[in-house]
Amino acid sequence: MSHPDALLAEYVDGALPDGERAVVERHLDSCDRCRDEVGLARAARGALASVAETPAPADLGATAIAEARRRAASTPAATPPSERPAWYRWAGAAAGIAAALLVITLVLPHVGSSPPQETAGGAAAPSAAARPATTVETQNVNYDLAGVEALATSYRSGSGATFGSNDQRTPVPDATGLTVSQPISFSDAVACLDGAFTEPAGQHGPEGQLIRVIQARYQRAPAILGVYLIGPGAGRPADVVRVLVASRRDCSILTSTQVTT
Amino acid sequence: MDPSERDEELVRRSLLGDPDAFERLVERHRQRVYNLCLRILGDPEDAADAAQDTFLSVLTKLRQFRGDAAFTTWMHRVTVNACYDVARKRRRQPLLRLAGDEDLPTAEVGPPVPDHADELAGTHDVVAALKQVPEEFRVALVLADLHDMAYEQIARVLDVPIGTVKSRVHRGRVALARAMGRTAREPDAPSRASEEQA
Repeated sequence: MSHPDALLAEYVDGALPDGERAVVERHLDSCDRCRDEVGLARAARGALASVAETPAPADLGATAIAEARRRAASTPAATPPSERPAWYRWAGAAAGIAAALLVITLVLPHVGSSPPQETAGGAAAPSAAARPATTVETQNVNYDLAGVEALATSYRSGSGATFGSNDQRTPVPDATGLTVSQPISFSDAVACLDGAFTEPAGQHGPEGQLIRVIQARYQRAPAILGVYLIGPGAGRPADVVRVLVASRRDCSILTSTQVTT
Repeated sequence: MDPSERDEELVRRSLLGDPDAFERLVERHRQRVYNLCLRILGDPEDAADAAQDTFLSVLTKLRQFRGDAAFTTWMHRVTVNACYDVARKRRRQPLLRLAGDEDLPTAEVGPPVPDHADELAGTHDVVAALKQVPEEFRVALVLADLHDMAYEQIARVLDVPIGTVKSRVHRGRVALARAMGRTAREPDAPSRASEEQA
């Protein structure tokens, strides 16, 4: 015997049209299994109606909001037009002529005003300039693996971030209980990343150019995040963004991820 | 609602680089996203992680939102996917879990959760029983009966036929009631579920 599972949900909801309800009721007269299931489903539906919502943590979404603010702070005025992320250009187009005019207004004063910079990417990579990191950026943010992946991905072409934004301190919403209490010096932070990610026999630190150093938390543990640009060598532009995360406490490896630009 | 506060308008302003608009989106949907994650994953910390991932994904993928579906439908899809990802990561990275988490029920993706009636001892309510419902049924059930979403909208969120959604909801309800029944049969575990069924 076939059982009308797809109709039983709506039957229990009391939402079946008359004709289909009659079909189901005829079936239930002769099917113990479905009759039992209808009783169980009604009990479950009633029980679920008593489940109350649970308050969400107040800082939920703080990482994303901080990232949105960082992008906003680093996007409009700091980069020449060719470096504008696709995110911004697309938004301008989507907003119509008025927004496009706004973009032009914002952009024109900067045409030609950017100093010559060594580009980090070629045709396949973002054309933003890669400046070596010189400071530690403090974020009261609790990263997880997805957050680290998002950070790496944000350096992809067109994803809305620009290289070398380490110098731009972006205000970050305070995540209660997750604040970074002990600022670390830039040299200590780099030493921590080097210590965590250098092979035992290695002579050098992690591969690539360190363009951003962030002091934050990873899965609630105090952490140092380093963003590195890595190229194929032979003077060719960087095509990989790697994010390394080391423990602030003992400079051990917490996680790492990389994306190809 | 003030037209300037509609989701789609906030999305448009976010894409123009207005972080306040994005923050409004997060604030508006924080509670709903978190509770969806909590009921799918069954663990507050995992739910918070999945919800954080959801909002990061929303920010990163915002330009992919084409506006041909309601923003809430699209956001629910992003949320469900974030939950699947967290469930998978938890299984791949057991060492990254905090000490003491080992005894928490782990949400399963795909095959049904085995019927471990013994593990239900001590669970007291429908929320605990919900964790025993196979995940694909649980997701449909939570969207339908806790988030009051229409079957048609759930079909768009999960990208499956509407008949599949209705079957999953029914099977989920049956599995939930059976899990509550097992809880109710535990002599030391009086449950709200048993009261509901009485």
